[in-house]
This record gives sequence, structure tokens and C-alpha cells, in this order.
Amino acid sequence: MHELLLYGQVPESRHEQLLKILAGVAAMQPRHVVERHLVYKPQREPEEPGAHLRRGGTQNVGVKFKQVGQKDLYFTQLVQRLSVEDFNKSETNQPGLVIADGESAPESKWTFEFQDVPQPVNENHGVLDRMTHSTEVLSGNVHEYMAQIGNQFVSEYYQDGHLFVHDNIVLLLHRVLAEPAPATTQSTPKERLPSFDSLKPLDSQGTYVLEAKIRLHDRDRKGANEKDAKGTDVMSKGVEELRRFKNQMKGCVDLTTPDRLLLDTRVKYKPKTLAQPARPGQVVR
Amino acid sequence: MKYSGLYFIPAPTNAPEASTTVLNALINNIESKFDDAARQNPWGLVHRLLRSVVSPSAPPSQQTPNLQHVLQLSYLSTSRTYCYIHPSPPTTQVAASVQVKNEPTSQAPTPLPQPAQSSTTAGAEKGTIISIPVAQSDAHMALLVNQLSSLWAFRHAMSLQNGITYNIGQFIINLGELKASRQGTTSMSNASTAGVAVCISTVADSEEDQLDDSGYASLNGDADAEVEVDVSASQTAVRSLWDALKTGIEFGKTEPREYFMAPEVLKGEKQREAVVRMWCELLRMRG
Repeated sequence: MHELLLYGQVPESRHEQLLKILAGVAAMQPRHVVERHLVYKPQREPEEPGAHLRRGGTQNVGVKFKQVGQKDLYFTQLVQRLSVEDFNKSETNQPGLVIADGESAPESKWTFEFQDVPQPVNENHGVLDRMTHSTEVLSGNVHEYMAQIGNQFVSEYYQDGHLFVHDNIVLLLHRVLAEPAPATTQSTPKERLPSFDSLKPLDSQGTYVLEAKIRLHDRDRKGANEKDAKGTDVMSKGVEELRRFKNQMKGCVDLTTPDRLLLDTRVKYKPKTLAQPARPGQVVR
Repeated sequence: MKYSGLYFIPAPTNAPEASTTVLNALINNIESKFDDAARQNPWGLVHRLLRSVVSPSAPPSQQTPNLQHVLQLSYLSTSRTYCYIHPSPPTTQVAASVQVKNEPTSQAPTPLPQPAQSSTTAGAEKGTIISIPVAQSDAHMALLVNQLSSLWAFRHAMSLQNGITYNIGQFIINLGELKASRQGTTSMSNASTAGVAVCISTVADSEEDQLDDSGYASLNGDADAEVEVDVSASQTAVRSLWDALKTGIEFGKTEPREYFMAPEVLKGEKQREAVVRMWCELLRMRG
């Protein structure tokens, strides 16, 4: 599934005003959305870029040496939908990592999400396009599944926002919250949710982000009318709608495309640094 | 509480249509021996197997790859697909636990099924199981193979369609022909029969008389202690029914393999997981 994205920044002072404006534009009341994101990365380290090119061919005659392209390793996320009341529940009642099975179990709230690095921005389009995938998890221990797939837990954060739907666009006015305690190296996500009031915005100024998103199920599908020179496929329809929305919000919020590498989810290669040889007379620490 | 045993008769490589013969012979046996055999709704399963890609620089202790099964079993649940990560057993344990050998026993007139490895010995820490909606299972599979291709590689796909169910007294028998295909798609053009699978389920202990349709729903709620349930009586019952079923059928060179559910964890919703583990043990198809 592909997503077309535009982002805008909103200072904290204008948050209330923008909520009212968006409620008018979308003709619906804002829906409060709180999410907990767990970030995972593969346990394996990525190879040095270009290493696969340096691997030599074979001496065997008649054997075609297939150049296998470099495979990337990605960060993935587990997202849990929460409500503010979940933070204040007692420990046994809090929704945890293990989802119970059975007919009486509450509705599943965990999703396994994957986002690819966005494509380079096409100047004609002016929107960000990225491939994304999400799978709902209905039962089981999600953290253990991620660990056994070959991932390790990195960190977690919370997202607090309001959701609107305007035609085909999903608008999310949100900001990222995290616990203010110094980031300890956790190896597993916390079993117990912290209290909602203890979470502070990651950005000390409390700026909100407005994300306008259109989800395309099948990106390359052409519309019924093939004669239209501009292309009636779903992709251009989506781009057109987002640009119309951007013009509509002109003067209110400036929606742009951030640098695509800021949203890069690939794991970076870290070269192993060699130890510096000690110079004579210098104390080796 | 429902307890199941699984039998698998592999198809001989030189006679692929032998499986259909075996299946028909089993059906004839059931219909002739048991007057109250009632035919129920058909069932099916779709299974795909992935193998984890081992990085060449990993230490030798981590060299054995893990397996991931994506299994959808229609008689267990029509809305869920189960993903089970099967830890590969350490090499010393493989030698100790004898899995049924596929030796030709042409000299023995009646081949006896040897006690097979039950899923208890499949690794001390049990693999995790999660379930995802059926509609998303293809997309999830595509994600694992394409995006996470450096972690998981596709192995094989199996499916069983138009399986037959019989209800005989306290037993429920599910039978069908398993077809395998090497590609990622479930197209049947390249499918070859892997064998016949027969699953026999019975009620284990009679304390809970409530048996709803699925039989596997949680009984006492979730936080029950994991009690070792005595399943030897159920195993004997299943074995004796299987012996009755297979009388008179000549299996030729291949012997049926037997798989049972792990007896330790059989409370509540873990029963569904135990069924998934049992099937995955069979569908691993070692060798």
C-alpha cells in the first residue's frame, strides 16, 4: 500500500484554533488518538555498502555469477492504540503485550507497521510517496514475535493527536510524547504504562505536526478512461486532491514535503573504527 | 476439552496418484465400518514456510536457521491466520528424539507405525504464535519475503483443499490430500501431492461437558495454571481408531507418521496454539 504525504508545523499556541478550523473543513468532530510506538531494528548489522560488488566471481567455467543486489535492513514498528483511560488503569487491567485469544477478548489494538523510505519527490507532484504496510495482530505475544523474527527492541514513544477525515485525506494533528527520564537502554518494552501526565513532548516547545495522508491501495491502477492525456490513474487523483487541500489551507498551515531522508527507515551501516595507535609519550586511556 | 492426533502418509515419489487411492480407501473404510459416520462441512488449509537467512558472519552456535510457518486452518478458525516461529532443535537433541524414519519395509507384511516425536521435544522454549486476520495474510507474507528478505526466505507452500470431515460418536476425523508447490503463489498448476493427512480429534477428559462448535474455546478463562493433563487415554483412543481405520489398506513402501499435541499446555486458548504447533511439526517436512 502506498501513502501520499504532506507535512506542516503548528506552534502550540495555535493548536486550539487549528482544531476548530479542521473540524469545520472536515465537517466532523476531532477524534482523540493516543498511540504507543515500539521501534525495532534487525539484530543483524547491515553490510558495508558496496561489499557485494567487491565479492569476486568464481573460476568455474560456465557458471553465471548472479550479482545479488544489496538487501536493506529496515526499522519496523509495533503500534498500539490506546486511550487516555488506559494509562490510569491498575496494573492488571492495562492492555499489555500479550493479546488474549477468545471471543470475549477485547478488540485487537496492536499493529505491526512497516514503512519504506519515501521515493524522491517528483516536482510535478510535490508530495511525498512511500510504500507502507501494516498488519493487525489478533493474538499472541507481539514482542516475542518481533524478537524471534530477528529484531531487537530499540525504544518506545507515544503519539498524542487528533484525527480528521476529509474526503480521502486523513489528517492527523499530533505531537510525540516521551518519558522525561533519561533514556535508559531498555531491552524490552515496559510492561506497565506510565501515567499520562508524566509524558512530556519530545519537542520542548510543544510544536504540533499536521500530517495529511492519502492511502493508495493499488498505486499503478489506471482509471477507466484511458484517453485522458494527464492520466486518470489513482496516483494522480491522489496527488491532485492533496494539492487542492494544500491550497485550501494556504495562510493557515503551510504544508510541504520534508526531506525524504529524514523519513528513511533503513538501518545505517556503521563502519568499525580502528583503535588509534598510541603515540610515544602519550598516556593510553 | 478436545485432543487431536495427526497421521500423515507421505506419497511415494514414483506413484503420485497413490495418495488418492489411499484417501479413497480410508473413506471407504470409515463408511463401511461405522454406521453412524456423518459427513460434515469440508475444510481446508493453506500453509507457507519461511526459513530464516543466517548471516555468514554469525557464530556457529546460531547457524541453524529457524522456521516460520504461516498457517490458516479452516476448521480451527475461519478469520485468522497463525504465524508460528518454530525454533530449530539443537543438534544434540535431534539425535536423541527419533522421528519416524521413512524406510521401505517391504519385507514386513503389516508395517507398524513407530511412536513419533511429539511436539514436546521440539525445543525447550516454545516458539511464539501470533494470529493475524486472514485478509492480511498474503500481504504479510509478501512483506516478509520482499522487504525483510535479508531475514527470511521462502521455502515451500502447501495447501489442502476439499478436505472431508466425519463425525463418529465422540471422534471427529478430518482427512484430505496435501499438495505442495515450490513457488510463492498458491497456483495449483505446479502442485504435486505430498501425501494424505488424517487428523483425529476426541474429547480428552469429561469434566467439561460443554462442547461448543469449535471445541477449542477457552474454558475457565485465561489465568489458569499450566497443568500437565493426562492425555494418555486420549492418545490410546486415537491410536485405536487409527488402527481400525487403516486395516486392509496397503501403504506400500511409505509408513504413516504420527504426531500428537503436546500434553503440557492444554488449557484455555493454548489449545488452539497446540493444534497449530502439531500441524506445523508435520508441515515442516524435513527432508
